[in-house]
Amino acid sequence: MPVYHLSTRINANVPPSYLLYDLSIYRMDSDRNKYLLVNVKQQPFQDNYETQRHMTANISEPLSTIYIMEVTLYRKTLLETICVSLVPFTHMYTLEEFANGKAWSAVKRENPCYFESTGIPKPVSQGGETKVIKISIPERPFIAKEYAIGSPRDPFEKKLIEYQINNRFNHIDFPEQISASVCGPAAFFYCLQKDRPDVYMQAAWELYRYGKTKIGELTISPSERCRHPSGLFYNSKGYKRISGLDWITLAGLRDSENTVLSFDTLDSPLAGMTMWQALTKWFEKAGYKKIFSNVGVTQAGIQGIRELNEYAKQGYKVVTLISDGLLGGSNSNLTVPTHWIVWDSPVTEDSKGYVHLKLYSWGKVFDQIKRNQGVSFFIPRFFGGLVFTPLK
Amino acid sequence: MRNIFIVLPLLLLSACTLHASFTPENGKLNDATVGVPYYDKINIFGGNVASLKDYYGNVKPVADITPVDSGLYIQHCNDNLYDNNCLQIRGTPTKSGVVKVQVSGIFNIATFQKSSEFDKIYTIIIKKPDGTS
Repeated sequence: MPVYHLSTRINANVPPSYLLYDLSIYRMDSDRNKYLLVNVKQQPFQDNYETQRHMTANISEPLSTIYIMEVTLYRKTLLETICVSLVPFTHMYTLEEFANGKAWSAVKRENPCYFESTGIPKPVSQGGETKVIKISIPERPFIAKEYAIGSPRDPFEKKLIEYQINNRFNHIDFPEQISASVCGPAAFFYCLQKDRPDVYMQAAWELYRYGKTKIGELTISPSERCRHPSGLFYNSKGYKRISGLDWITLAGLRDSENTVLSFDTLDSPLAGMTMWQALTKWFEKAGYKKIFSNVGVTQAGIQGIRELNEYAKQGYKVVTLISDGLLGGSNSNLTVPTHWIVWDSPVTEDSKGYVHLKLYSWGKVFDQIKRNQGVSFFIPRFFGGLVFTPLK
Repeated sequence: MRNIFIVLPLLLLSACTLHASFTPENGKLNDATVGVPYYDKINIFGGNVASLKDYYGNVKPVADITPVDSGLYIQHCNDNLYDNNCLQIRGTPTKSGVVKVQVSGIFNIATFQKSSEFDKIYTIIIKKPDGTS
């Protein structure tokens, strides 16, 4: 098994010898157990503001594995060493990027930063002097047109987003598209949230802070129109049509991939449609490995169910395309593909011949197949699926 | 094959807005009697009914019952907390009068669909044990 030498880089305007850093590089599993690759305290920088190259233990993970880094900076003075990071700076990179010295961004504020302003004003006895220091804060990337910053129902208010992200990290709830036509992105982010809650959380924060993120090789960079959506985020009684977090992640991913239609309002049914090619690309770029597919515009039949059942029993991610009329509540009689779901069990048939399937859809995970329906109801509304290995 | 996915939604768009229908249709639930256990059911059709969440994410029931001290209450059917399409009214009325059940919400959507809101009020007349209102 190989060992790697991992590093990152900061931006600063003081000599690197004035600074020290804490660095931890880790990943989490689906149960949020933390696996540390590097964990060092108060280390000196190299002359080019790069950290030292910290050696890992022998590890067998693929280079595409995503890790989170946390950096805390310290400023040395003659008398003391002062922590200058209010909270640790976090960012995610692949093991390959950490090992090849590429775990940093060309955009200054996407790296750990430390900047000092210096100057000696005249003392009051000499007439005094006011020094003006300009500190720029970039505009928040996501602002809803109907709910400006400061509005009591701003869906992108920071504390609210933080609360929502923490709930997702702890699996208290799941992506919920409600009134937005983004079932494909919802299926993707549900799998990511389940497999790598740390990556889900980091991606959501990076989208919130910078308006873009990179999950493995998957770059999500929604357009200006998506980041400034129009339309109502609440119904007439004040209940959510979509949460701010789900807009940032689900609409953000959908819009980022659209070349013609912007996803800039909740009522964008065409801009929200996801083909299986696109869905496959998202999973694979994020580090998932596709091992089987029987998805298509034609029904996959009983054989298609049997094939996917075998993978579901072994714990693989099974993402399937259905007609939403297959699910409870919907009374659509159409038998065309309209909805992506994620299986949480194999398909089963009870003693009465009724079909059951525990699945994720619309923010919930339970047996959502329409009650008291058999295989003959299931088959015309089932268009096969994609199978991926869980993301480690 | 890609063309199918371009043409199909255009064909479907005219019929893609979800509209609610209900049983019972007429806004009237079975009468109740003080002291007698009560049961009735409301089904919402037209789409998968979303859970209602306020600004902070607190979940609110799809149906409200007023007055709250009538002795009647609302439950999800089949003990399925996730199924908002079927609601049942249970309890033993404690006083006569008119009870209102307001059912309101929004649908979850799939591709090619557009959500819509629904809002319907049902009444239940609670009679005295002697049969008078």
